[in-house]
Amino acid sequence: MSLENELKSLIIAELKLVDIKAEDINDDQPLFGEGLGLDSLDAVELVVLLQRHYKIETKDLEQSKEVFASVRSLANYIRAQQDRK
Amino acid sequence: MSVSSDSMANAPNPPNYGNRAGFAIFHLLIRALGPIPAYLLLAFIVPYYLLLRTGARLSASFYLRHRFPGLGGVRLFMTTAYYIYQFGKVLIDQAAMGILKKERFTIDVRGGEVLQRLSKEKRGIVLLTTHAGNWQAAMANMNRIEKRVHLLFNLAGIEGRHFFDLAGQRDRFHFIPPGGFLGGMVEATNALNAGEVVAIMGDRAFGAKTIEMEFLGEKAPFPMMPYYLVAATGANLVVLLTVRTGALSFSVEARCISGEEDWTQMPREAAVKALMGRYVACLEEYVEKYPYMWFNFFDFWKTDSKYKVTMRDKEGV
Repeated sequence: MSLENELKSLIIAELKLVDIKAEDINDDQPLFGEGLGLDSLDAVELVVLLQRHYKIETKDLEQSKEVFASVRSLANYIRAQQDRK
Repeated sequence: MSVSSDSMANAPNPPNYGNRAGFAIFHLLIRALGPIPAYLLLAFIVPYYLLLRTGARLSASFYLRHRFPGLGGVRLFMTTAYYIYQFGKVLIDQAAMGILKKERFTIDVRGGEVLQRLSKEKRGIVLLTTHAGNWQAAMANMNRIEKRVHLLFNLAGIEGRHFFDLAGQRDRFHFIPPGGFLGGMVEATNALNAGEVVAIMGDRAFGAKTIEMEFLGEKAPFPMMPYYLVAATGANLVVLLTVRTGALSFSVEARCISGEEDWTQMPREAAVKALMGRYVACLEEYVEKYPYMWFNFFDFWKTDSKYKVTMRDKEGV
């Protein structure tokens, strides 16, 4: 399974998204606001998810905006962080 | 779950007590003669607010009518006068914090050992502050915490209303703007995951997601984010309450209300409501004991449905 699909499944499961399947989420679809419709509560869950599943933090605010833009940007960030380790 | 903005733009505008020139006069007085003459000058200014600034009287009445139900006429007028005078004295003390030497202040911290113990734990701490007494005094004396402290506060608003707040203390803190990306939640969650401290106002919901809780006999919207952060990260939850005990004298109480429960394993909504209930109980106990020390000059009980949250059933992870 690609990292993008793994992330989609994790997001659906841990954020308790209903009536939505992994294949319904486009890799480049915005996660917050108009896209998938996530909000600041979901942001908390996403940060916890990244830390628990991938041991990754996003401390820089400017960086966070880019990282949390879409599933693809999240996956790219995880790969980059894992390569650094 | 309903999706709403995390912006602070819709905050109501409480009346401005004082203006730039007025603050300058008080600051000069404090610098030259200390706080006592400033309290005396204040006693002459309070009647002006009561008689000529009806907005000030109205803004104070929202809380006073809940705290003292049935009070009316002359008794309400006198109670409002005393309440505004107490608030003015706290503003003078706040200004003095930035002007006078630290040695002139007396601050008694109860529960300091709790903070020391918790700051040695790997878990983060959500520090719940309240517009009670002089919360700046509490924050300025948090040297018992051996962790980095992030303040999820609207600093611009604080500076605009109270000059010199936290003067000389700002370097110790990192401010997270609540109007920033996702309400500062990414930064706050990361800080807690790293075992650091995030301080949030427990009694100011402007623009934040809220849940209604019974407070002084009527449902009032309380911000849910502090409790959500505890439920998601497993951080400790500490309530800080301050009381003004005299001229430049304060008492600060730190109380850990998260207990021994593992909140991360509970459904989020149940955890948030239980933790919020504990905070509201602390707040009710406080205003019962110190009725003239809680300062929220707006209709605290008015709910903006835009920010009311219907939570998805977020189970523990």
